[in-house]
Amino acid sequence: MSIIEVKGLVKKFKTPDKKGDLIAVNGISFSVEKGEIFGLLGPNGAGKTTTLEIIEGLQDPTSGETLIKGINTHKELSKVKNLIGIQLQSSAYYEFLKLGEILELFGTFYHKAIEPDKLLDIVQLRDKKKALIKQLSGGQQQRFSICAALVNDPEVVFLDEPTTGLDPQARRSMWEFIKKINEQGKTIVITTHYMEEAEYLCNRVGIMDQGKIISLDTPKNLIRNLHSSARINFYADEQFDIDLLKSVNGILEVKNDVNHKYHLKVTQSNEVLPKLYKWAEQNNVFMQELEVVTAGLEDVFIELTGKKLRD
Amino acid sequence: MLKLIWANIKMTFRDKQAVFWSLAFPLMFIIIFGLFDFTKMGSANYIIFDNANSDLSLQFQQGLSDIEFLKKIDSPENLDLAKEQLQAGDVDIIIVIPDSFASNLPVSAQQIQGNPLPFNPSPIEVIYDESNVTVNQLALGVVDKFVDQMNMGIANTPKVFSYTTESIQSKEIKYIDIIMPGILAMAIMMSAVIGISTGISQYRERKLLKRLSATPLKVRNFLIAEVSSYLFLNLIQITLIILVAQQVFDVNVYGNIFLIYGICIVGSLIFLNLGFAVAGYAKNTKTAESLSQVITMPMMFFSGVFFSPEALPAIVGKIVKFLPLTPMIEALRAVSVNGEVLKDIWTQLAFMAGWIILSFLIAWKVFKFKD
Repeated sequence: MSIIEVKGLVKKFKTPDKKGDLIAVNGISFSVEKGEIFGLLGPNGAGKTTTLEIIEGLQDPTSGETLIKGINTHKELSKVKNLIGIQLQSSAYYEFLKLGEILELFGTFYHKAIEPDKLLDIVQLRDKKKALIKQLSGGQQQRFSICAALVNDPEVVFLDEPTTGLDPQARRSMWEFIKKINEQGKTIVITTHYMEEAEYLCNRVGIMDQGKIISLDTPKNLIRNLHSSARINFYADEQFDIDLLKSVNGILEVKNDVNHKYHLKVTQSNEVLPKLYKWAEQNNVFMQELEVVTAGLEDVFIELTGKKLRD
Repeated sequence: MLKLIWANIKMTFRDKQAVFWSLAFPLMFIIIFGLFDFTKMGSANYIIFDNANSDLSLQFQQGLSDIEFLKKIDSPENLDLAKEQLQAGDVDIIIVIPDSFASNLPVSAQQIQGNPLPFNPSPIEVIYDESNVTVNQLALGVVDKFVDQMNMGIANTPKVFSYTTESIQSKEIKYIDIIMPGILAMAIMMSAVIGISTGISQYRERKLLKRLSATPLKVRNFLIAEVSSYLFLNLIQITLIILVAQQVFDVNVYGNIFLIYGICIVGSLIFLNLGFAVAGYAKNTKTAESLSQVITMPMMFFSGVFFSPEALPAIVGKIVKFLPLTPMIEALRAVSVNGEVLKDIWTQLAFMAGWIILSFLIAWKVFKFKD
């Protein structure tokens, strides 16, 4: 049995003028297996956070149901609360309590609790035990809110955009913490709008757009199933017939810009490259700075939705 | 649960703003009013017309002249001249003893504005200038009390009468004695309304309420912890204010000190409810802050912290009577200044109980834990 089951989830909000409905989550179903890192990837406003908060029991769905370990998270929320740990997007903790005190206090809310010291060790904040939240950097605050989600030694941990607003280095170290927590046997559900993050961390990724999951698979499979798995870019000064280039087998699309740089979308780079060389030789085109870029989840997203993940 | 209460208390004392509003601010008032020596402003001058000239009225005159605070001025020829002096400010009160004084008991002090009106069984008339607020509060309080005591005395034996005169005479009421209970009430109102409303809306703004609702912590327990930590803060406030007033400014508390604590706690419950209501109504901390000031400021000035609401125009005065701070101050003042006991202040307490219910219902309707 899956540890999390989401069935036909719909969430409608009233629009501010109260005339119509705004559909934030539009009938999604998926399940999360025990021990995996499951990612919800999508642009802002795709419905990721709403989905997460419905599963956590913080919001009620318009229709559909969510189960954690077979327990309905809306009918028996109090049972669920002891099983899960939650990190909210941009939630602050008590302003005038020290980190150690906050963790100790939160521990008293649960049936069982892990010692503050151990929690702080996980995210390497032991030396900040006596600090107040405002004395921490942005990255440290995010790390703290993750270890606060672990207070009750939960089976499932929900992380809502844990690396948003962090610099690349802090983001990297956050990934390592998340992996470490996962290695302790905890199932993790994470939302993000960084495809590198989803690619690096997640066992499976659900791609969300406009309240729907438009594709769900392992990052590798998602990329493999792409129509175009790579892009080839090069500069060429010579004039040539673009239509002739387009007719090369395996080249899906050709674009050029004013700098005479050409952007090709291709099916498989290893098949297309020899043909491309052959074409260049035949047409006396000298390709400079040729580069092959293999596709990532960003490309998956563009192909699925026709738009970029972040604008 | 205890841990949560303790954590709340710790937080309050680490929050400099909360400490200022709940402790430093009221103490500031105590010190300011304590430093002004209002007794030096002079005493209240009175003119007495004794139309009875009986043993009893002479006894009454004697009793009054023994009160240090009141200074007798030689009476002019008639009442109209005396009234002119009153208007000119040379005299603060005119006391008229009716000729039927000796034969007619009981007596009661009555307020006359401008023209003396015919009263039921010839009471003592007290005429004063309404605009002179500070003197009125003191002088009328003293005269009123004196007449009351005398009444009681006459009802029993003349001996008791002379004894009670003495007790009044030794009881010297300073302005700060009257101000202190008002400041006590004000401090409790301010810290409860402002503290709860801004505190809770900050929690909401920082999404801490949402974070807490993700834990198994029950909303009821959260609220109990908030309320009990504020009540604890109130105990410290009360103790500190009374202590400073007594030790530094020789304020006398005549009534039962535990009754004062009790009244304060009852009042605090009203204002905590109002604080929750504001926190529920206001969308953000800024609004909560200004809204709670809109609620507390008028009460601070109208409900009699510094001046008597009796000096207000009649209609305003009537409305003010219904504000929650007014009965609280009345009750505190009655206990602290006049040494009254529980049965004397039950109307005020009943009023306050009504406010607890009303404010609770408002808070219940308006306050939501989740957004």
